[in-house]
Amino acid sequence: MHSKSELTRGFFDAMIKMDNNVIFKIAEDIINTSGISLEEVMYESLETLGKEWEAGDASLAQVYMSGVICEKLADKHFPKSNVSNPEDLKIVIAALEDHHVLGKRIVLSVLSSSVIHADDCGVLDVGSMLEVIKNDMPDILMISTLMIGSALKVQQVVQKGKQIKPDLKVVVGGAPFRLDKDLADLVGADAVAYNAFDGVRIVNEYIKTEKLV
Amino acid sequence: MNSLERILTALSFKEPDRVPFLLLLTMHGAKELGETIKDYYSNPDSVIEGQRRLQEKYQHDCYYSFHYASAETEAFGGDTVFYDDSAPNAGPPVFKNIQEVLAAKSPDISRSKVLQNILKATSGLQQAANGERPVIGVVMSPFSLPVMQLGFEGYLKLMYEEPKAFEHLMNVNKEFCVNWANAQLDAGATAICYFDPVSSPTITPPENYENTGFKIAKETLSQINGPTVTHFASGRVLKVASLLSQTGTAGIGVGCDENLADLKKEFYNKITIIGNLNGLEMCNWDADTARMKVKESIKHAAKGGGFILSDVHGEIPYQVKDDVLEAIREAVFEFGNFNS
Repeated sequence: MHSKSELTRGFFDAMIKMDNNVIFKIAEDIINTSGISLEEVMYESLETLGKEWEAGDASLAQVYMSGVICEKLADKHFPKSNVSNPEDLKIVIAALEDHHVLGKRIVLSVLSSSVIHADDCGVLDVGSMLEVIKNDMPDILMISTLMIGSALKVQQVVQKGKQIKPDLKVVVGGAPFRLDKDLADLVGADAVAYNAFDGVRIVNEYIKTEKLV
Repeated sequence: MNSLERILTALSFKEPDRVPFLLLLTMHGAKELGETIKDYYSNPDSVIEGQRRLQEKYQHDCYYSFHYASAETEAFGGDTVFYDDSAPNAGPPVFKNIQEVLAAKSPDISRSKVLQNILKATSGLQQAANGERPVIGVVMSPFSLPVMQLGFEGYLKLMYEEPKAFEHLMNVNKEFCVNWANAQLDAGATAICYFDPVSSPTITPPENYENTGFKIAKETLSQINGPTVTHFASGRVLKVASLLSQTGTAGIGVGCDENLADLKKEFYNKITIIGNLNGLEMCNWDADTARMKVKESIKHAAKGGGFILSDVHGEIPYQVKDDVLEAIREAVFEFGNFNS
């Protein structure tokens, strides 16, 4: 029998190698080992991967493929009925004016792997994003951007969105915010996710404290 | 020394009269002429005049014929979305499924209006340069173009799950890339900037690079009939440094996530490094910050040649103010003078 740390290490190594067969095998071992939670192993592995991505030791392809495989595992082992946010917390995620962003997809996978649900609104412009706020009244709006022009337009979403729903929290992510650490403040975002796991951490923190950090 | 001599000297790892600097300005030309970005790019004469005015104003060492990345996917049948205050962006992916990828063919450059406009602008810029400064053309690498052809997610799935379709698309894109690069060289481009962000370890695991981006770059660059530099659009490069040196590229665009002095040390006498001003932060710089950043980059990388000052992304955002660009010029002239 393997220890939790051995299984977590094995799971993480297989994620880095993008070896789905090994990942599924280890997941089965975890499921069949009492006292170890697959959810925890995935969470810890994705957290480590997020840190490695930040440090330049993991690539975007590894982050994406790991998110997708963890999402598949979550679909298989955690019944959909268990995936509901506490106190009906409503999270909406969308890309702003870009058809090619990967960040939104990765964040969705990692949220799903962490048993957190977000409504995927696809690709929106500022006007349609404000319509979503008006119609869905989300607690948290997660916005993914790729280009500086769309990142700057987050400011309009924040200003007008908070007129519609004053306690709306806006979390931003994407290359412009990673490369310019002052940009999130400039556009008035409540929090910035530098990697997909950061998005989960921010949502979990909000669930605990109702504050974004 | 004229700009071309300055750059060639730096590329041969010697010190020219001053540090060469490439302000990779695109949309600022529209601003200079008081045109919308869409109108500007639809008229080669505007681009020629815009580039000419920008070079005159900031005294940088090149003309840049790049319009926007999705010009290439337009040739494949894609769309471009234009904005008033930022770079044009690719519309929805060109290929919707594997069957469409497998049916893809290299498009005929002569039938693409936007590519023909770029060639006309290149030709006009070559005349304006009069052999004194390079005209830099741009191609997307065959390995990176699919981000716009399929969307990022669609492309990663193709790369890792559909090897036959991936191979077919790479062959199509290689043919197109070589034709497009050589057409620009024939029109008067001095060198080609090969944009290849997907090859960066920021996106592709370095252990996968040898069999993908590296192999493709080596095959493609060897068929381009002129000098090339490779740009990673802010991505990291150090982990693939030894392979990069074997692709045949003369220079690489470096980002700011890696230490400039380390990059210089790693690539000196192999490949010239081009960078590393943070274009996104530049939007919020004032003149003093610009001066300090230029001074810092020059301090870490200029000695002995093999360095060209530029931004990290290969395109300076529309929001960067004129006084910041002027401060960059002044700082290069003050701190980058090798004779002082």
